[in-house]
Amino acid sequence: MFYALYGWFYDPEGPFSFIRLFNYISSRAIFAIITSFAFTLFAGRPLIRALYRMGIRDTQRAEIKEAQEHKKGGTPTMGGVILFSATMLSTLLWCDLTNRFILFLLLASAWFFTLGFWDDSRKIKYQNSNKGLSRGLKYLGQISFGLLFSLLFLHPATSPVPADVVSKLYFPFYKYPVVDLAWGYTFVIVLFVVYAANAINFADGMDGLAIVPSAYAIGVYGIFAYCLGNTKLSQYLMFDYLPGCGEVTILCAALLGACVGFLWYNSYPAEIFMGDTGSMYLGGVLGTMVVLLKQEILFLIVGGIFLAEILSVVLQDWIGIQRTGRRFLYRAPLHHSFQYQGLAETKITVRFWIVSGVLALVALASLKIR
Amino acid sequence: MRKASETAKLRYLITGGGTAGHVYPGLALAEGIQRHEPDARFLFVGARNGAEERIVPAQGHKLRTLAVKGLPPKAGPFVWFLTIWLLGKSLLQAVGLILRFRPHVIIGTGGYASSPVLLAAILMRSLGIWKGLLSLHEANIIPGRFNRWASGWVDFTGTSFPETLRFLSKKKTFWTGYPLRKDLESSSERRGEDSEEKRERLGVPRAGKVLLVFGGSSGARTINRAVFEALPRLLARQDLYIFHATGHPQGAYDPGVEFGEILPGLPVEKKDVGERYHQEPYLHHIERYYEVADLVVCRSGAGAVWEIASYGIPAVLIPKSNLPGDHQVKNAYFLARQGQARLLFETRPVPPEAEASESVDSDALVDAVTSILYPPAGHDEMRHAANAALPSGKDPFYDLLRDLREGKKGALPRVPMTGPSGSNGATPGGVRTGIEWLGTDSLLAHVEGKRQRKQDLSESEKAYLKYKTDQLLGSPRWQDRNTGVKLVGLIAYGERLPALLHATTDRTPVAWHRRLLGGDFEQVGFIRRNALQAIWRIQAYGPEVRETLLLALSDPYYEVRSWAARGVDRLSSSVGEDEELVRLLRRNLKDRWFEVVVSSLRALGTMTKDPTVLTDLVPLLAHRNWKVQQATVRCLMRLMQADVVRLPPEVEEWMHKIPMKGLDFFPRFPLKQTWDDFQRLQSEKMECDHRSNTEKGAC
Repeated sequence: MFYALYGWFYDPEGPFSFIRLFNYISSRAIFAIITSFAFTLFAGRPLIRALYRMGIRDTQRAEIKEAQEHKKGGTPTMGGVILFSATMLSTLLWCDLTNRFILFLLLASAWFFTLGFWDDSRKIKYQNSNKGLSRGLKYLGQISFGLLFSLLFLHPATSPVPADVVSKLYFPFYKYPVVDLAWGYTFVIVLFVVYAANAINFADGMDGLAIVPSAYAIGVYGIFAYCLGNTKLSQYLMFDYLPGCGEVTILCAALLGACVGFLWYNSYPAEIFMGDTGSMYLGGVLGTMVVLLKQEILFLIVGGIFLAEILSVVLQDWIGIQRTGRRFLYRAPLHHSFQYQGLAETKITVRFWIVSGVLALVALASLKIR
Repeated sequence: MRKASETAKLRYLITGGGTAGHVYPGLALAEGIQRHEPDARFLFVGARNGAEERIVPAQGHKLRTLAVKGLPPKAGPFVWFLTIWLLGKSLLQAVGLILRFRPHVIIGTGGYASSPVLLAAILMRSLGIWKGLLSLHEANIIPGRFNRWASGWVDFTGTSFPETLRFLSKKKTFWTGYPLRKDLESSSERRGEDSEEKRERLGVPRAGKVLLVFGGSSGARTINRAVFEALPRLLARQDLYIFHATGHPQGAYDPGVEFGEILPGLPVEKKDVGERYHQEPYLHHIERYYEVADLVVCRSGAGAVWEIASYGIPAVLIPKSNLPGDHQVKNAYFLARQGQARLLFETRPVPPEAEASESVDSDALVDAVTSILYPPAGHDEMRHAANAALPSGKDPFYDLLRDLREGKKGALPRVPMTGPSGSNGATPGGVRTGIEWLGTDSLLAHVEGKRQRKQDLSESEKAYLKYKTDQLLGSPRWQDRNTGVKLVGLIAYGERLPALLHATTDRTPVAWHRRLLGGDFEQVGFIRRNALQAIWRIQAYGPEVRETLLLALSDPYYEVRSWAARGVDRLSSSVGEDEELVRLLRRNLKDRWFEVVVSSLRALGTMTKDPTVLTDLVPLLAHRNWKVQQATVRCLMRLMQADVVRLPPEVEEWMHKIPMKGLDFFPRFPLKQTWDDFQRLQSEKMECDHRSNTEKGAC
């Protein structure tokens, strides 16, 4: 909105010449971060009360209950609503809403928020965490978004990315595209969207565990978006220039502000959980973003925590418990395994934060070292 | 009311078959319709090579067959393709049949033979090519997949059993009961009349008791063998007359020949056999036997259950095992819950017993028969219970058809349900069902819940659970065997201890692709682990259990090692001192998995009397996992209480240098605790107020 104001009213001689600020990505990013952070802070408290009053409270899986020292059931959930509304508000205020990158991300936000909301509301309706959407339906929702997204992304008429780069696969720490997959790129897109949406869902098992690594990842991608969307920087760092992707920085800033604001309430002991609404939304947006910026493989490094969590679940649940009939770890996802071994929840959380911070630094290093 | 001439010449197309169970209801429905509309015309449509080719023409009805085949449960792609091809072909044939016969009513009675006709009828009706009534009758308690889907597209569905309602379209499904053949139905109404004459015709004196035994339509090997074995004890009752339909010979099995071989060895008077024991391959005119029978022993197919119910004869039902959905068990419970029947399960050998087929325990059979026929009390109760099972109304299915045809769509009667739904297995219709309807997971949850609430299982529940456990233990799927093993412990099924020991010690390796995924033995880790738990739950201990524990303590899977140690702990009162066990437990103190170390420590604390164990314990005080440290201290405490060890002063000094800092802490939420206290006080006060209102000065 403010970007449009600039377009309409900017006059270097006029009394409102200061609105040129609304042209710069950097300044809008700062405004976006402040807006969404302030919104979460002020809207958080009444929202938590409202959610609690409406009976939107967490129902825990029985096998997790046994591992935890204190019972967390009954904490208000669906905190994703705060994340979503703060980010939306800030994005609508500060982003260029005609930018295709932003339009793609808005579509992803709406899609995954709805999916997660649906899942959570079923769990609450039946007061049973196993009564959410069935696994198949969840994957169907995620995969169908992936297919729609790849169709729009790979088609030259709607793609935000130049046609000569769009289907090439890049690796971090390596200058040149490795392979051009053409329409086969669809597979990569679907894979990463589904992966990201689920990875954050698995990691979301302790107070503040999912939100901080997500925030790190969002920050890293915000910086990448800024560099890739800048002619000089992208030339200097020897990236393919993606015109217009600088706007993604602003959306990242909005998300970052919302994440930090959410952590305000979600930090141990949590007053609110993000629920599937939040994890699916964050994951969906992140998955879309890594594809839009053509830095998919980098996400495996930035989100190394998520990778570890999802691998532990695959190993333990899908292979071990369902097929082989044994456990390979004490418990899964990974953080519950540490908890089972006697580490305090807060200790695990902070250690995971530290690891993800280091991984974020590694990822940032790949900007220059390539 | 319409005149008879108007409703005359209605054309009915009845389709169903593949197996006899789907054909007889169709024939009976036709008979029912004929009773009201003598001029009605019928066309039967069945499958080529199905049972209907034998049965339907013999009853004087016209039959057309289609080249349709059923889909076997594990079909390859070729079979799928062939089935779909045949279905497409017979669909076109069915369209032709409907166009030529132009039926007013189409009735499907299930079975794969009915699917092309019903599919064609549904399609043609939605395209407006054919107009008429479309209905289904589901004879089985668990409907087929096709009928589940089709029930949403037809005008109404009638079911034999009220329990079936839950599977089918909610608004258009009614409990109409199983349609009985005319001769059976009329004879059941005349059952009480001139019984003496009827008995005489079969050679039974007035005071004699009549036991009727038959398997399914083709006989049942297990029932036959049990009856042969039980014969001496049954014929010892001088007034008992047995009529036994053995079924025709099947393959290498000929019941008549087998009986001939067994008979010389049986301690029975030869004249009794032939006089009081009549054996036939098949009883034609079974209604003559029903009319005089005092007790029936048979399989619990849907048809047999309904025939028995309508005659009101007490029965011992022996359900056939390993059927899809265990539907004979559910049929049998339907009658047993009315109090009219007693269930007798086939016993099934479980590993490690050698491969053998199911059998019926002849002792149990004799017990059941004598306790019903020569009761202290109860026989009459069983007879009174009869008929309660039947839905009211003479011909409910026909009534529904007629009402619909006359446009009384809103007037479809709701058949009343049998009572309030229980705490488990509740259905939307309110039909009361028991645990036989629970899937394996919910069954386990039910039993575990009862155990936690310290409620006892009823005798009938126990009988069913034992039967189910045996079935699960013999399953090729490890998930099922795992459930079976858990159930053994939960219901304290001590007879299955050998199966538990076998599960823990069996070292058959799994297929290579499972080994790639980390598998080891055919009895997977979870089974071995849960078998150990079951062993300590049934509190069994002996040399074989000891051997098993020794082996389990060296198991490659960490949870088994850990649970074996827990087993030693739980069974410690029977274990006593055991050097070999202690040696293995001490070895496991160096295990890589802390869980194993912790449970080994606990077991050592309760059972060892060996002071040298201290040398193994002291290093563990500096273990990196605080849970191990804690368990070590606990173990030391136990041993000191039992005067096994005493800490030397240098160890005590050394201990002070170990950082006893936990990595875990227990959070307290003072507000929540205070709030809980407040609520407790509040509820106490409320209760107090309530009591002082009813009786004075109770507080």
